Amino acid sequence: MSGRRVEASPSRFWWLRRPKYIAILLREASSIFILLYVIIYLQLLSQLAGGGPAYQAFLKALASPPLMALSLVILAFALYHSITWFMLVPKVQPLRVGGLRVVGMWALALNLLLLIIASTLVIALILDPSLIPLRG
Amino acid sequence: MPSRHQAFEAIDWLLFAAGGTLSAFLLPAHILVTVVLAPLGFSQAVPPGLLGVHTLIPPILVRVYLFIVLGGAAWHAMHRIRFMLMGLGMAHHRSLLAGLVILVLTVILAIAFDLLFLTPPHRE
Repeated sequence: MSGRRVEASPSRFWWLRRPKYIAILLREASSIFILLYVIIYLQLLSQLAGGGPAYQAFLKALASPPLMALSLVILAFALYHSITWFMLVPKVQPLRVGGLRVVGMWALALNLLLLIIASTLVIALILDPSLIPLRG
Repeated sequence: MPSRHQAFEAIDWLLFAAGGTLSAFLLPAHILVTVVLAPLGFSQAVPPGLLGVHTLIPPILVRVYLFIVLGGAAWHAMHRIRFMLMGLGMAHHRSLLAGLVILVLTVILAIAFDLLFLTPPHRE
């Protein structure tokens, strides 16, 4: 033995070894689409600041088939992020409800219920001003 | 006393977890309404508070909410992108990647702050 330390250098294609690894890489890659959404929404806010016509033109561009397809891909990856996050977090930080430890599919089901409630609140916030008006 | 690097890692992981949770619960509905339904004409893309419409929720709360959601999502995403790139063979460039992440996040947070807090509300 020479005592020389040999460091293993994992292949950059490790994720091709098993389907499970591809799922892990896709989970990590979902963050690219989340970042893309943040950039698109900031651009939308920027167009809003620029005035009504610029804002409407940007919305019209988003309705074009390529950008609508991109938006649907972003939505799919965001949902994938949600589900994988709900499955991952209870393993790191066990979920407790009233002293009971919620694990596995129950934890996923509870988080999906919370997702539905949160989504309803977000839609109410953005969708319809008449839901919460003080004055017209 | 933790080093600057350790302090950054601690804050980074904390905001990664917070941003991941916020993104998991709030982003799917945001994306559905703002970049799918709104361009198709089924909804508006921004909360009424940003359009100068008075609602029960004060506009400043809407702006703070959007800043936290967008900032948290961006932080979470950049953290994951950093570690994904390290896992794909860029582990030797750890410091460079950390620097790029800080730069991109600074730009995104500055733009978000400017658009949400320094830009006057658009009135339709």
